[in-house]
Amino acid sequence: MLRRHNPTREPGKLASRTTEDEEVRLIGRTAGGELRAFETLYRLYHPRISRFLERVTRRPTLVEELLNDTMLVVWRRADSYNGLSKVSTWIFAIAYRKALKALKQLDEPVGRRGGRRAPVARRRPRAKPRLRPVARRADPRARRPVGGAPRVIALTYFHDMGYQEISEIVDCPVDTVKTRAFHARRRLRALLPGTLEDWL
Amino acid sequence: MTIVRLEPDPHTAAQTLLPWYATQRLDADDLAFVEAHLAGCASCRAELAVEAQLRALQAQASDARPVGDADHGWNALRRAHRGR
Repeated sequence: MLRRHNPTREPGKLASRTTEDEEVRLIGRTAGGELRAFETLYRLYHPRISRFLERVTRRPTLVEELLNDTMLVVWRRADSYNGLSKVSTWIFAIAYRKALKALKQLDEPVGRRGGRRAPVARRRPRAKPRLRPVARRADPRARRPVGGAPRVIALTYFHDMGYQEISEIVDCPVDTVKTRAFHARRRLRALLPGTLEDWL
Repeated sequence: MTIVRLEPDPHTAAQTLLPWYATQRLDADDLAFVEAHLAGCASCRAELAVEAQLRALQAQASDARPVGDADHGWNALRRAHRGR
């Protein structure tokens, strides 16, 4: 299906910001079967969707496959884009659904890192509470928000999306997005130097 | 019987919206609420000042994880679907 054209390579480094109108035009051309337009979209969204998928799945080895599954849907279903949402919202929502489906197939809860936990009976008893060094606390990856918060925070802070867009992507009410962001922000806030936690 | 309506704490409500206030992504009603609150609340203005640091922290965490190569991904996509 991807042999309709023999595309000329688009410039490797595309401007990171395109206007919404330009993206809508690219979707329209993709719907018309222009592989060159699709490649432009692919390269435009590759870094953003890759980072988002990595954030959602915590599985770097899955990212390229999920990204390409996502972009294949864009290629095949570009004609179904109705313009009611931004192009980025539409594509991120596809990526999000692909990520959830992949995680479900892996039988892993979203947001958990490192796979299944051992059954309770096989877990080694912990002799005493482990203290987390201050240096580790300062690592942004040391204590990640759980549940839906990582997606919301990534979309809010890293992808600069509004709560309405995020609500559409993760398919939950706007108020839920706000609540998740609030709690995730508090956790993130505690990682900043000079917070009360450093003294506890 | 008098029904007492519990309104959310205005500081919590304002701070919930700060990430989007900082990036100018609030709708008109929320924007009006946050601006009115910030005008009279020093502690929430201090929270707003933290937004840039939070954003930098997120960027740092994301930048630490390299993304794959777009050329590689594109070629893999074409290879996988060649002939379909």
